[in-house]
Amino acid sequence: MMLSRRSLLASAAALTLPAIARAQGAAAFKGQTLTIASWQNYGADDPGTLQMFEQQTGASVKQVYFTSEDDLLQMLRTGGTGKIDVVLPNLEYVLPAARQSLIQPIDTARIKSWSSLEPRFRDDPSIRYDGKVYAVPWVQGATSLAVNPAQVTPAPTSWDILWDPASKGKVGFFDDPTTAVMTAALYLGENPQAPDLQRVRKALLDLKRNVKLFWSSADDWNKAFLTGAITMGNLWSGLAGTLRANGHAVDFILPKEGTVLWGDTWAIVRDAPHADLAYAWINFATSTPYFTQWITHPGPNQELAVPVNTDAIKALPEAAANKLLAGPLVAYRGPIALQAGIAPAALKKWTELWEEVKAS
Amino acid sequence: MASRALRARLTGILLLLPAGLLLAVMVLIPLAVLVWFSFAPEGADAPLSLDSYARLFATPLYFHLAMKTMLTAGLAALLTAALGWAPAWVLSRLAPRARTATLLAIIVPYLTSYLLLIYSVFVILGPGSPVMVTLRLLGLAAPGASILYTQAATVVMLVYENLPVMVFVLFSGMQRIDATLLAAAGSLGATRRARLRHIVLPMAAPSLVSGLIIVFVPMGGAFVEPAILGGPNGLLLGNVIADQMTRADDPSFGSVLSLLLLLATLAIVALLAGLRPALHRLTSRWSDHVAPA
Repeated sequence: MMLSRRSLLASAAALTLPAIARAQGAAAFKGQTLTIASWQNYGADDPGTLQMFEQQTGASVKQVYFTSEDDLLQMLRTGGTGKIDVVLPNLEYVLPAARQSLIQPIDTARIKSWSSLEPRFRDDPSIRYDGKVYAVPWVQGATSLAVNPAQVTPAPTSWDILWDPASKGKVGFFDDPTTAVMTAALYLGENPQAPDLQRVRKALLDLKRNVKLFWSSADDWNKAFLTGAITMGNLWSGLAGTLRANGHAVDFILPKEGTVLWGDTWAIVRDAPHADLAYAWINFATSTPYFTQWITHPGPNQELAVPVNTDAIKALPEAAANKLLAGPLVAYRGPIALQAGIAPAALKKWTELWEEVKAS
Repeated sequence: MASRALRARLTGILLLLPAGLLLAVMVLIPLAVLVWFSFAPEGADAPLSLDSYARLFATPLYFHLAMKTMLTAGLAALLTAALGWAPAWVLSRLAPRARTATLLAIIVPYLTSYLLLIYSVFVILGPGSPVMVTLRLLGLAAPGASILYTQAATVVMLVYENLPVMVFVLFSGMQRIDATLLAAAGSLGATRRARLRHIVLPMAAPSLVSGLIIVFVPMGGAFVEPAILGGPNGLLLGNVIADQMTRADDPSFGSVLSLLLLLATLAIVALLAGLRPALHRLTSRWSDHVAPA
């Protein structure tokens, strides 16, 4: 006999157990509606994964979209608390939201993937306030050096290349104050969280002489890069991966001075009407099955990003992981400028500085 | 009798009321809010302060930018008038049927979304585009060069966008110039140049000034065109205002800059409006010279 009776029984039990668990889960949240505030076409409204969640929990999901992080905070301040259950703030906005008690502390013991989250996000102070954790890191990306390998040889390893006089008129630079100040700080060897702003201003004004375009959307970058108007610049890892997957030549480099990293997180709103369901959602959205489904079979127009859950990254098929440039990002152990934890007053100064550099 | 006068006046007021209300709601109230915001850098609940104005006067940066914006818009407006003059004249001399068809052809780009227009200009001016290749063959441009991402691209776009408006306004003035007047002048020995100076210019001058004002004002406030086409040194005051209102989340400083833009624009418009009597004087002086002949 190939199979003993015991092993047959065991496998039957193994098959039925998840079904029982699923049935219990489904019963637990039947009839409840989870309200999620998030970006449109960004994971939370992916049809394939939503179907999985609804089958697992029996709950239905209502989507609320915000169009900027400030919009999200405003939404919570003006009647969102007590109505919205779970929200997707950027790492930079977790502290402001926690400080204004718009979101509630999270019991990390209830987050199943907690131990698999990348330590550089899980242990970061920017998700903690008053000793408590307020958000679960979800996805990440880098805004790093990108070059056209046909035009820029040898492949650079340093941010210097953007400041090189030979790069005049070839640089596309992301039009964002935090990224700009942090990138200049990395180039200068300053602390990216609190750089000397006089030096940063001078560096950015120098950089501007080489810049052909301050880009603010994927479309801006693509038009200039694919027509050869620019050959280098700083770029989102996700966009670099998409360009490569579509057959365009682009080298994405994590320079020796360090790279700028961002993260998006899940947080539970204060007075969330369905807090338990919100935990169930966060557990689902940070799980390996979720990421595998979302990244390999995304719904139309879904924008993808690299999971913070290391198990989920390992489980990704190679092509999908390459498209996101997940490998280099996770393997990277160099210096990091995490886009988080900048005090509002400092951020205001950075924004003013960047506006003045652009207007000069 | 008195009651009839009173009724006439009342009717007048009643007739003005809808437009007046609209103006109050759409212009005066937003303007008041703008002024209020400019004094409220810490938000609506905090005490008023002059901080945003202090920031404006702390650096010459924004005044330079305002100057650059006015010069760019002024240059673009003059170019639009120069390019629009001839088509408007031809249009005003066409037979009615041909005129309608030509007007329709001119109106098509005006009915097209300006974002589409911007992106089409993007294709037309890009490196390797027919325009740049032609310029390169003529030895006027380096290979792979393009005026994209420069101030020049913004000016080209502004002219292109506003040309139909300019042609319409000039045409409406020129249309009133009677062909028999020109024929009469010609039969009395006036050369083409004399006819242009003494008949066409004086009669079209008011619409020329109106056209300049009508295209200059939106050009001064442009921000999409410079953002997409203008490159890092092509930003105008409108871009900084848009940034303050959205990403920098500083509506107070944005309001201060908006008021700066408003004042600068008003100054230029007043200058242009003042040009009208000057133009009139100039052309009538020419007329005096010719009169004895």
